[in-house]
Amino acid sequence: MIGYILRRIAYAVPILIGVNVITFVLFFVVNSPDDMARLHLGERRVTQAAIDKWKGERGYDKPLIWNSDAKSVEKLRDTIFYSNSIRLFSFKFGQSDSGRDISYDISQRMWPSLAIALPVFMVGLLLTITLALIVAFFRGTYFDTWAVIVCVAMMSISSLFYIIGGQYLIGKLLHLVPISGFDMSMIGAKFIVLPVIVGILGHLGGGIRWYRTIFLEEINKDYVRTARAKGLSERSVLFVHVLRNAMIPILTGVVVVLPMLFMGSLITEAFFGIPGLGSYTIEAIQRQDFAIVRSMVFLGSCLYIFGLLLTDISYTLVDPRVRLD
Amino acid sequence: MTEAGYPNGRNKETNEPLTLYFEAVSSGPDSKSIFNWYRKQFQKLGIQLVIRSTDYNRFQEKVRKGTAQIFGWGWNADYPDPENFFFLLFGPNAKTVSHGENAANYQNAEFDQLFVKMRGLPNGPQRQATIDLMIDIVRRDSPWIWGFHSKSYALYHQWYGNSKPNLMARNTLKYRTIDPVARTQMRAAWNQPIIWPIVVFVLLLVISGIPAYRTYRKRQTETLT
Repeated sequence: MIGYILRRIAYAVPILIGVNVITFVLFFVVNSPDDMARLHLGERRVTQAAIDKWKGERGYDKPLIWNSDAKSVEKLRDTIFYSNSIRLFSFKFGQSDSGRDISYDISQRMWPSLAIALPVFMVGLLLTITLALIVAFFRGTYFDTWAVIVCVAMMSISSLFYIIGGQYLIGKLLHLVPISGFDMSMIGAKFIVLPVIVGILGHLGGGIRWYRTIFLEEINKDYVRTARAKGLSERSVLFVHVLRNAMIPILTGVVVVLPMLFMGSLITEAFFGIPGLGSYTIEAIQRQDFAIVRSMVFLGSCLYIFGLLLTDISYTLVDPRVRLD
Repeated sequence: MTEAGYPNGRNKETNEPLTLYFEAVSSGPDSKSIFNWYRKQFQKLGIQLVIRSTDYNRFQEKVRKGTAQIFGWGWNADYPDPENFFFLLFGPNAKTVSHGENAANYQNAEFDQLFVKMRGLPNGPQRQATIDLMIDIVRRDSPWIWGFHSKSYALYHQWYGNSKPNLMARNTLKYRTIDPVARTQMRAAWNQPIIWPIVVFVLLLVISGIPAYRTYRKRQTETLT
């Protein structure tokens, strides 16, 4: 298994280089270093000298990807791409274009993101699996039909509608919680309730349908019939035997997102004014802060690869027949 | 239009319609209705207006290079003096000449001369007379279309004081006042939670769950016959 893990880590290197190149190209196709400098320096009375100084201070005065004036390997090394990308592999994110320490910002802003993402993930998963098992239990009845109708309706509604609708109904009309805002202390719990409810509701319909399909597939297998024939209650058949055997497809979707949790949600955080990593990324895109965008994309890719690796390892834990070699 | 060689919006010699290009930065659905309005107004004069929508970076680049034909841009005063607006039309400040703030690249030697004189004068009748002369020149040359007069307004809570919206001063935060007692009282009065819809929702959920629970019980106690 160690050999397998090392091989996967080795595979990750070209993927991360590729992600870096794509992010770099996409960003600089839209924004030139001069555009970035103008945006950071403000729109008024910006001289070319000020722009050149800004670029020089941040290393954006070099050629983008190929320095034809340099000699030998310096042609590749003395470029914006190389000087900014290579240190990412040692997780040194450096300074943002506005001069802030990115690692410090990440360490501060991951907690608000986690405060939302963790309850959404845990409660959401528990609720989805429980409801999916109940729907699977009532398969073929009116309850099942109505559950499918409601789930499809919930899937058809955009997540943006849940956010705005939730803010309007729960925040504005019923005055139960604030519409937006955040506070890390205990009184801040009132700010978390609405984003968590909205986050769960947004995925509930699709989640129930997906897990119901998995459970129905399991329910028709021989071991379930045997369990029932042994006289087990339906509750223990579903929650013990079916659930355990349906773990592989569940883990595929679940474990991969685990490391991504602290990256937060771009849209939810922006709408609810949560100072997490999602809104950090959105703000960086709006401010054309390439240093932050690049760091966040790199971090996201690393965590995704790590999540996929964790998924593979978790298979071996829930199903002894799976071997990684 | 006839004087310029375009009677009824058509070239006198080639009979081709006059087409003008408007460089725009689209910022959502609101922009579309504004652009349509522009197009219709130009249409009334027999001129075809083509809207070239782009992102702000490209828009700035076009203005910097002086390749934009018509565009809309704004200026909030840095300080309350006519100089802060007139310098936007001062020839040496032209964008294509010195990357200055004269984005229309307006050049008029007489205006420039008056501008240099005006900016050194103290406030008084002589300065006012110079300013009036400059306004006359700009009105005659019309490098800008004087069509947009924005009016600022803002809605504030009663506890928020010492504030007046304006387009001049930006550093006004330090003058604002907040009455925390009034704020707490009003927040408490306005934000009374309404619980009953939640109670009704939970009750409906419980009631709708009863048949499901009965079915469950029935299935659990069912025997094969």
